[in-house]
Amino acid sequence: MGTIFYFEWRRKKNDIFFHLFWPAVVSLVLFAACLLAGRIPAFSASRFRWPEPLRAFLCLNSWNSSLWVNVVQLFTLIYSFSLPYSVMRGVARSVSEEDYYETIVYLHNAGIKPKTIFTVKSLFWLGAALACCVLTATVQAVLTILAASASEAGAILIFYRNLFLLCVFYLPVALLPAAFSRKAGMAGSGIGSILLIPMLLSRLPQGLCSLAEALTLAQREGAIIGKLSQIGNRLEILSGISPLTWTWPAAEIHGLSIGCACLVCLVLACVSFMRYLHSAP
Amino acid sequence: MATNLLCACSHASAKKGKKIILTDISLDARKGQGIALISKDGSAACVLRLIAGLLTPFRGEISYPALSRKDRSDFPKKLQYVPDHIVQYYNLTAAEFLIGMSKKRSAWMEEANRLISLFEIPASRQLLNMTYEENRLVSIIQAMMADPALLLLDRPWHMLEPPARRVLAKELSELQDDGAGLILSSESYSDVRLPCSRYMFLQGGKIIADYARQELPVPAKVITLQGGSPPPMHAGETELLDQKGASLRFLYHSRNMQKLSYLIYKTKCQDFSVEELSMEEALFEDYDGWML
Repeated sequence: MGTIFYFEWRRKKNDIFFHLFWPAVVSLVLFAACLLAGRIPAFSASRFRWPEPLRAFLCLNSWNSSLWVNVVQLFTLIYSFSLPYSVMRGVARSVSEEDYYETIVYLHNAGIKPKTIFTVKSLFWLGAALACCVLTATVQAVLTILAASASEAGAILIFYRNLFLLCVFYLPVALLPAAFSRKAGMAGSGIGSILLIPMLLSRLPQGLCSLAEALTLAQREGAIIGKLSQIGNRLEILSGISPLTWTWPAAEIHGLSIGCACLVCLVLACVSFMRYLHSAP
Repeated sequence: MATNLLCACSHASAKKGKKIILTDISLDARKGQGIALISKDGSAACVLRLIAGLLTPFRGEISYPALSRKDRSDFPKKLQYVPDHIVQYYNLTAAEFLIGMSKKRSAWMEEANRLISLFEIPASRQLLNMTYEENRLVSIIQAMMADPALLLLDRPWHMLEPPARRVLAKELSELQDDGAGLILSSESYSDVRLPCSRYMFLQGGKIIADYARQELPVPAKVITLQGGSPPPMHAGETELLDQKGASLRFLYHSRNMQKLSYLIYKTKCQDFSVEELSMEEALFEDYDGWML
């Protein structure tokens, strides 16, 4: 166990440090930018609002009087894709590379069993996800307390807790193909597709409704506008299919969805584990 | 005798995917003994992987009597396998690789440090920035530092320069003297380079010949004559291989070189050459490469 962890840490620490610190650094830069913008009357937060169709489409909370809180909302949209993507790519590559580079021979020499390799690598990347969430949450919560209020900071902490749970869910999703095609692993584009396609599908109903709303706001008329809203409402069932969107600021999640996600996560984890052990030397 | 037996492989067959890659492999590896597995098609490497536990036999069985009885806690660390490729861990130095593999055991690290300085390995260099020879030596050091009871080496001399080969041969001999078993694979007999107690020749996943060291024949000399009269052929001593125009090629089975000199002198040839059959050619009477 120690050997795997040591190798993973030694080889990937630069990568981990990058994933750990870029959100914190970006947050600090954005915070400074918001402070500077706050001093310019033309950029005062009270002068702006989210366009309603955009707010609905991106599942944002209503416009906050603090510019920083609004910026954080946009940041969380990007980070809720970026972190699971990095963790999934990292764990898929990590699990399959021992076979790909034939270094599994050395681990075998050291008496390390495949189940240890699989478990430690999964835990390592889960730990990395936790560290990223904790650091970014701490930095952003502190900045939010400085810029807005403790209740807004609390909402940020809840977002990062959900984001970590999202990483826990997506980990077995990445492990499954890695366990099946041990030598090939999984390309970044494959992981991107797994994350993006359901997300786009889940936003389709709201997207159609938002489009109809935007057309109405633009004072366009016609049957097509009503039709768009109608189709959007009919496709409403799709809106919960991407767990990625569950962490978005104004997302409403049903308990049933969470239950199903937990079940899927458990099944995928078990299947990946069994498959990895089955194909192990 | 059973405790002397490190590995007993009995009629084992193995598959890779659906393809059968090894059929009916039987061998016994004992303490202090060396076994050479010789094949041109990679069958020898598959046998090593089978013994290392990286392939599972679907027929027959493999047991490790001495290892599992005495060193159960250390097994399979007592059995070390060195593949014939480099260590491909990126972003890892040789020193870090060996520290990780040793799990920070001081005795293993001391041995690793000794071998690193013996082979003059730049331990602080990244594994993938090393030369092929340095990287292969790191792989060998990884196995040797563990004080193995049975060491499996896949083409150990491959891509090593003569100085490193000499040092490695000495270290392997010392390891054998200390009681370790050694099984090494090679593409040809001449490439074994280490005296072994058994020589097994494999082809297509099967053992096609198995010789104890003392059973191996002395390969015959191949004599090529240009011009002159053909020498008399005597059964068991000289054997005509081919004749084309003024050129003639024959095998000389005897060790008596004086007699050979006289034989060549008597032919009154204009030119001649003396070469030797390889062990494989001698064993399998494969003379196709010597036809004129």
